[in-house]
Amino acid sequence: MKLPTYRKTKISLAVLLALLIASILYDYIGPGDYRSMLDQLYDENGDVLENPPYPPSKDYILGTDRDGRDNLLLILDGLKYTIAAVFIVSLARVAVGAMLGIITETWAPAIKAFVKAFFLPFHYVPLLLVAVILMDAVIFPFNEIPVIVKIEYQLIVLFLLGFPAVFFFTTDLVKEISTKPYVTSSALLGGSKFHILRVQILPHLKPHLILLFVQQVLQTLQILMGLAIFRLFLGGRHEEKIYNTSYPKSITNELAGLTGQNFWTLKNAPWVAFSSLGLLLVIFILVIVIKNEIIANMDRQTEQSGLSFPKTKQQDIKEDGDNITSAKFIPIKQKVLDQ
Amino acid sequence: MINGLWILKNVFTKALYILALIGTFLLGISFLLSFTAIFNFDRKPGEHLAISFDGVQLRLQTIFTQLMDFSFKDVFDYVKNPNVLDGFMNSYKVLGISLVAIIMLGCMIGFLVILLPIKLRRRFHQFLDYFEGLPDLLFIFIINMLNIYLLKEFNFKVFSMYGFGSSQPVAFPVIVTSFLPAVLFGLYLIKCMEEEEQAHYVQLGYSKGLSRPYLYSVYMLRNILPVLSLKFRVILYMMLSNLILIEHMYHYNITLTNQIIEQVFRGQHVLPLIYGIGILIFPVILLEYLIKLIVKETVIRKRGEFQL
Repeated sequence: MKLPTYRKTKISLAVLLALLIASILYDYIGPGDYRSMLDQLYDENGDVLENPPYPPSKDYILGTDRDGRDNLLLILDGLKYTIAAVFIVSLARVAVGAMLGIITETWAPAIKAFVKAFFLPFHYVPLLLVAVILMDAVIFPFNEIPVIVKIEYQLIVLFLLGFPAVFFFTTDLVKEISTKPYVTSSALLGGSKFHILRVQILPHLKPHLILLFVQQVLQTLQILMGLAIFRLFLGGRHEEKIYNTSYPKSITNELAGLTGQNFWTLKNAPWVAFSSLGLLLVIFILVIVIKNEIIANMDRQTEQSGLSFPKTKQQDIKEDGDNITSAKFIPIKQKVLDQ
Repeated sequence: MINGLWILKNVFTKALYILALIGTFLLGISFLLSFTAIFNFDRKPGEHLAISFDGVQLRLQTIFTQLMDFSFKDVFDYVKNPNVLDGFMNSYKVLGISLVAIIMLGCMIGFLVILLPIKLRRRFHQFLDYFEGLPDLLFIFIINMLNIYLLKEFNFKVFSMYGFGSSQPVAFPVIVTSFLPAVLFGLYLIKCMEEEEQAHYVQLGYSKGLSRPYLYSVYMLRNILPVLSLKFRVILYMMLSNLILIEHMYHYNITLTNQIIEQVFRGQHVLPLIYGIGILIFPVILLEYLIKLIVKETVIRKRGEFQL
């Protein structure tokens, strides 16, 4: 059986990692600080030629925002917060949700109905609305809550939004695997629940959990973008007047926040909103490439597993092959006569 | 006598079980609405978020007391409020038209791709796979940008987008609400049909000389309905999320989203918020169950193969 190579996944992960490293290194070795706004453009008589936002040019590839800050440096700075938040939330969802799902389905399936009843609002109310309800009071701009506390609370809320889906997906999957003939046979032969879980259920669950993690990454990114439209940026917002107009700005410059805060520039300066949205689109496409390759490989493996023999079986036959001699065979006629 | 007692015990146990489930459900709602009370936000710079159960009991008590004020008369009074009624009509006008658009456009995409030659179909399928996971906001921005571009370059206004004042656009929210769900519906249709293609009756149909469009639209469509109806739930809720986003983004005033957001921002009592959310999602839940019921009655009862 041909083993999957995951070539596209490796390339996508490498690109994501390179972007993340560039974003982290920006703080240490990056060119000029994006926070120092560019001056107005003057002609030789000292009259103002143009006001920010400046369109893309040779010096500023992605142009500047409404405060005259370089868009490229801004998105480079914010990228690490986006990737970190999304990675932490998705990992926590899958780790905690799957673990509790496995435990519940294996040892206490009766409480599933109560967990479902408890999280019923998460099942029917759009998650974006739930997130707005939970975050609004805390991310309110005029309170004294420190930024780090706000971020931690937002990460907990984002975790909570996806937890029920992961939990029920895992319980359903464990239930489905538990009905397979090899699992029931193992149970009939006296295998303990822990043994069955470790040896037969977990190996089948692993690829699904990896896929689930990738799907959670996409979902978390989508919710972050939706929240930004409600001005619930990661870490909150500030309305510091940098140039001549004050407007709600993301404190962390996280990509979804930048996209949400610059929505109103679409009409006059589309490059401002599309610079952060473009980078988000790149991240989305890279993650979708990973997701599609995982699904394709899982499908291929399912198809092939029906046609091939397990490796150990083939080895056994090969070892036996050396011992097979004609003397060990009994001709049929003789066998019939013996009977 | 023993039989009677046994039945009575069973009924009693079941009633207790249902009561416990309802209690858990109410606890879930209270937990959701008092979630912030679990944490201590009174922290100094440099400190981290802490858990504190001091205010939780009081908050839960308040919410439970407010939930006890529930009455159907209140719900009718809330619905009779002209703002809520008009908001419902406006939101569901957009959702209704979007739903029709999604089914029509999705079926068109699905059938066009599935009837293509295999190689070309695979390419299109791979392309459409990328849409599963892309954010709605991306398409909203692109459609918005296209509209602005046409207006700027050709002075041609395709549709009005913003809802300042009393204007309540329909075309724009319908387009942005239905675009991505329609593509996904088409994709689900293709996936379901490709799985169904392996069935023996399809091979038999080919061998008997039935045309592909006839086989797909008459036999296969009917048989994939149970699976498709399960996936349709995703489409319904995606549509609802898109609508909330659009109504807030473009400042549509008389909408259910606006009513709910107002309650989130300024509401003192939890019931108007719950009523608002209930009115927003109730028709969608009803439609979801209606689809399941129709599929169960029309397809599964005859075939008896799929379990919903």
